[in-house]
Amino acid sequence: MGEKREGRSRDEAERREGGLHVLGAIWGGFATTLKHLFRRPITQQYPEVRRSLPERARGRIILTRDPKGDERCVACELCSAVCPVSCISMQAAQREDGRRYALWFRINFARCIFCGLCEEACPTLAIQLTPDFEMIKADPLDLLYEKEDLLVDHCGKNTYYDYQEHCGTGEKGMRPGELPPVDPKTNLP
Amino acid sequence: MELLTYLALMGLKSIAVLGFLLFAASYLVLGERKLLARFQVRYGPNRAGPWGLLQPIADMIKLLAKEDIVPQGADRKLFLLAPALVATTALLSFGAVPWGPELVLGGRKIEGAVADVQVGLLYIFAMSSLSVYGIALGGWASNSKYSLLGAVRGAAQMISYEISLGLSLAPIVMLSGSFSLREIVEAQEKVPFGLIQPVSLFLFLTSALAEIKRIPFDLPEAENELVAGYHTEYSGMRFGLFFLGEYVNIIVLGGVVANMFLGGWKGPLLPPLLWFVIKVLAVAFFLIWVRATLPRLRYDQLMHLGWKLLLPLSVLNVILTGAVLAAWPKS
Amino acid sequence: MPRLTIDGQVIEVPPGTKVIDAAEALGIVIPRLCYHPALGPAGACRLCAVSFLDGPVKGVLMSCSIEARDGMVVSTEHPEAVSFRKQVIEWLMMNHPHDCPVCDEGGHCLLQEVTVASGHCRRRYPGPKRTFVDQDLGPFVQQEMNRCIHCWRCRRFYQDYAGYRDFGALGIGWRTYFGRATSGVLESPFSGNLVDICPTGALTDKPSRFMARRWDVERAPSLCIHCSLGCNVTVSAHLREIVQVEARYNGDVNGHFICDRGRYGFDYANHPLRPRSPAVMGEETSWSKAIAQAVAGIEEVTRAHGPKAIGVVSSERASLEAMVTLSLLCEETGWEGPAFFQDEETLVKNRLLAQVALSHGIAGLREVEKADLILIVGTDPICEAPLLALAIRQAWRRGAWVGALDPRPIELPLTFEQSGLWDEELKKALLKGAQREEGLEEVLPGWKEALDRSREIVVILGPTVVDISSLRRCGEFVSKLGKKARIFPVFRGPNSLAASALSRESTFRSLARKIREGKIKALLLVEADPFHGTKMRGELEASIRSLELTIVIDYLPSEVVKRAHILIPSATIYEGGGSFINQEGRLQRASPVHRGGIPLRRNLQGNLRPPRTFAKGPPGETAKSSWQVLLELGERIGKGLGIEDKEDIWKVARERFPFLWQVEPGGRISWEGGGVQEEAMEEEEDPSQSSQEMRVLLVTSTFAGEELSQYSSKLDPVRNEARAFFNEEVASQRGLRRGDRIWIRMGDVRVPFSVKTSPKVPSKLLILDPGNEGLWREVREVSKTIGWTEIERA
Repeated sequence: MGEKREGRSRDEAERREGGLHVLGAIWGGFATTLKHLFRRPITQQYPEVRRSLPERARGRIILTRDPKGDERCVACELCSAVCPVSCISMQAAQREDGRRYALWFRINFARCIFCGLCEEACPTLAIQLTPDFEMIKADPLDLLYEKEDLLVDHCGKNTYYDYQEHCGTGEKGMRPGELPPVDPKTNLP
Repeated sequence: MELLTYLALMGLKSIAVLGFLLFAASYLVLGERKLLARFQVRYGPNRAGPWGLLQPIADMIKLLAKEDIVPQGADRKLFLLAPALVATTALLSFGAVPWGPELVLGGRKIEGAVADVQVGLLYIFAMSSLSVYGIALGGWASNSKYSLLGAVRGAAQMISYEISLGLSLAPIVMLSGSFSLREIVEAQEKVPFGLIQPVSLFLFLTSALAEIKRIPFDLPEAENELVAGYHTEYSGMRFGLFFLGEYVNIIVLGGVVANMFLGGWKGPLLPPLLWFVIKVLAVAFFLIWVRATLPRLRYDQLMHLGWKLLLPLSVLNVILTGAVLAAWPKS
Repeated sequence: MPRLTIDGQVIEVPPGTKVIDAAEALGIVIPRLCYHPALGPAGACRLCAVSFLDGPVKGVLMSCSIEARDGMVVSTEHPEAVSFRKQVIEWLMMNHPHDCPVCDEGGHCLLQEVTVASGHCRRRYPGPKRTFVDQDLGPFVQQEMNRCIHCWRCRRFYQDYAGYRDFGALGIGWRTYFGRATSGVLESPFSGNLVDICPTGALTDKPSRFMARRWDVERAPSLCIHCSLGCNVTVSAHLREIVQVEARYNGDVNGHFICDRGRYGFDYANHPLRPRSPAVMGEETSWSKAIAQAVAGIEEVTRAHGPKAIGVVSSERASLEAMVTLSLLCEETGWEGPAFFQDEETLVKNRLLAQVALSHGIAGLREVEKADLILIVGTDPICEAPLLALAIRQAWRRGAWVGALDPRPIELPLTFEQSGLWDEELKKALLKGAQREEGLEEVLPGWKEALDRSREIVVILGPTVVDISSLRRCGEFVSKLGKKARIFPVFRGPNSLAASALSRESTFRSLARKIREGKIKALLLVEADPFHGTKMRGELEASIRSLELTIVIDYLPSEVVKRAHILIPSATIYEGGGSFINQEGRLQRASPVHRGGIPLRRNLQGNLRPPRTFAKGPPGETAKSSWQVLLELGERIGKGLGIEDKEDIWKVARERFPFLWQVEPGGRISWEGGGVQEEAMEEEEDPSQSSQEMRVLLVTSTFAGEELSQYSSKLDPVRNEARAFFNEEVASQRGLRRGDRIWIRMGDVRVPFSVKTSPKVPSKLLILDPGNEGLWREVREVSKTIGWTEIERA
């Protein structure tokens, strides 16, 4: 029964679709488009008019620094792992103070699709996208940004988070939220 | 001597018309882009030259400078032939479209057309039917599934709408009693046929839209399904030729509608040629307006419309016109 | 056979099976951190909790500690068990630092995996975290104790399984610390396994530290070719560089573990001096030119002196594919060779050993583990086949008696009897053993008793120290022991068994003789370096220099590569893969890991970043496997073999070489050994036995002396210096003490040695371990005996 009713209603819909009232709908469409013809275009003429983009617009990628002024990136490779176009590559290395950092860090902007997944994946808030999108180059090799091109002198969108305060370098037991190191050579309580 | 003068005149007219057509087609592209933009509350091309007036030239340079690619596995000869076929048939069909009254210059009658053919209407139909070869061959020769699908759709669509296209004009022929476009225009001295035969006008416009594959009947090149349909694999000037054919077809359609329904070059005050141009442009504007308004039909809707609505309607129109003509024979 | 139900599926398992293993047999993997099939349960992590709904025990219990019993109904997904496991993870994460981004384990961390699986993401406990101070555990293992979750796997492996005592647990309870008493290099040559078994980042791999994430590396199953055991490994490559080798489980061969030589010996493939492009007379050239030159040279020599003037040398490290191709090519062309072994004695010894072992039932590592009496004859397991020591220890842990007959001071992580016999004494002892069952009691106290209660005996036999007649005597001795005895042969190279099966009469020594006689004018060396471990360097150099043409196909920056007229680089096992037949006759295949090329890290050359250039392919030509090069050579000189790929080689090899019949990868070859002509070898004269002279025995050690790992920079920090082993009494008579520095004059070179003494070394014997080479390379000839006059204190 249900099927039958459904079938009939579909027939009806089709009849309606092809019915005369379609002409009215079409006429409405023509009227609407004609009205728009006489409206002022809303386009902003880009090179002359530059909108300031929202802070979270996804443009050129930067590597930010922590509040202490040291680079935030620890070369954990999560951004390169999450990158859907594999445009991020790096080599992790150990600095003399024991800190893990990126020996070289390269983003191929010729490949980047500015999806922002790297920013989302970054555990240290190092990699961030900026509203700057004007980065046209004639030679694709110029779109290969190295670490020195990416590294900026500020904290970016977050001005307080410092990953190193919690993990990585620093004396064991001296970082916030840590007990003094255990002395394994005593069994005293 | 007589023959020579005739040939010289013909040549001059042909070159003038050809030049006009090419110029008009390229600026029709600009006009369409501008108008579509305004329909969508945008500016349209406005960077090349003042108000973007040099855009067609820029486009042409681009098309000419682009690499001409023949895909691997393509049927090379047919692939190269197809775009030429489309452009040529479009240009040729305008040859039979009259655009002004006869002019008497130095005792010599000069026709307001490249060639005033007695069966002009049939000639135009023939040409427009031939252009389906360009599409079918181009699509087939490309060795691409998108092209092939586009070509098959194009062929099916053109064959379907050809019938109602022809039948929709039959009442006009019956009214004017002639296949010659010039005589049809002359027959509209008092009232344009568009007013006498609005159904016929509607039928012709709809079928003609389908015939030149414009929105809402652009299934053969539906870009969101078939990339670009039959001309997917074409690049550079060969693609340009397809493009040219399409816009020349719009002008041809404008010319035919102007002649058949709008009284051709006839009109008060303004010179005949200007009236003709105005009417053609009005038709072109209408087509652009349609493009800005209507969505593309689904394939089954297209076939339904053609076979179940337009065809019976046009047959009915022919019968009714015949009946009326039989009841009140022309004085 | 207990039948139990796990998650609605019924399974029957052998008695003694743990529930966690029974579930795994059904394909249900219960999360675990402390349980390890080789180490057994510890019940330390509490993560493998499951619900026992019905049967002999009930409630939420640890599936790793409970043996499967009849009628058990187990649910792994019961809400009670799931919430228990979730809480366990939350407890574990209470003290675990949130440093996954800087942790090398991140990406293949067991703890990370279970934490993500459990859905735990926020630490609810607001209190502070426990911390530890880290130790420096040497060049292989990086410690970060804060990450430790106290699963005890490391201690259980290091002390219980491997038997070394310098790393263990300190402290109690919450504060348990896994480390050494003080910072220092881990003593065990199996320390790398700590990295594999540690379920978190507490112990990570130091050589590959911060090099690559697991998801970025190219990984493939491969084989370890640093000794004859043929352990299975997984190799990781990143940016055209081999970065890490891990143990790959193979129950028939190595089980779960490998030794550090196999784990860190891979670096020869990344060696900065490794030949990367073909060279003619030391100058780099293109592939086509080098091949054309080689072909032209071969044709010229053939024209002038006939095909017999071309000698072919390969070695025991060549893959089976290369060996087969070479043998076929020699047959086709009539070249002299191929020679796989240094000299006739080695060839005969290898063949004899293979024959003796194969005819008495050959044993592998699994048989060693199951044995209850193990006799080591002429083998130093830790030095020659390290993982064998681990297998012997497992047998010993089950109560096996272990005895050794070897002049070297063998060190094993277990208690065993050793008698420092050599040569005549060894022969005599073995003869006695062959005559009477209890014949060895004199030299190995406890032998008789062990023999009486033994059910499975394994005799571990190596060809390096023992001479030919002793080998044969050993065969007789084993047949006397009867059917319960098997022989575990220890060869020198990864493919020695195949080499002895494919060898004809040629050896490198015999070719060298022909070079001196002027019969051989050209030498084709395929993955062979005659200079490695040679005693006759001077002679060798002269012969090589007198050749008209030397074509070397190799991937090592070896000494003969430097002397080659035409050098064609070949692919290592990591780039080309290959098949190898291990000491028990098991045919195993290695897959190629990566395409190869010059490692990016090496290519940096001081620059901080990779080059900014477009290139069609990776820099450094992808080397071809040696068999591919050989086929090309054969084709070009008009002796094509009609072989195109590996499968063709196999087809032809099976037709031509009976020992490869019916053998599939993973299976053992069917070969009875053979081809030993006893008369061919005359026993060498015992050099004059003046009381002042000591006979010299050259040996190798775990990390120094093996050909491939010698080129691995990762092993540099643990390579021992040159050592000289003296008999304790003799040394003290001469006033030498353990640790003294001495010079030994050999020809015109004075080589420094560190003195080691042992009561086990025979008094007439001086055992020299050249260790880290160095000055050793300048010794032109090592004499058979050394007198005290040539030894002086430094």
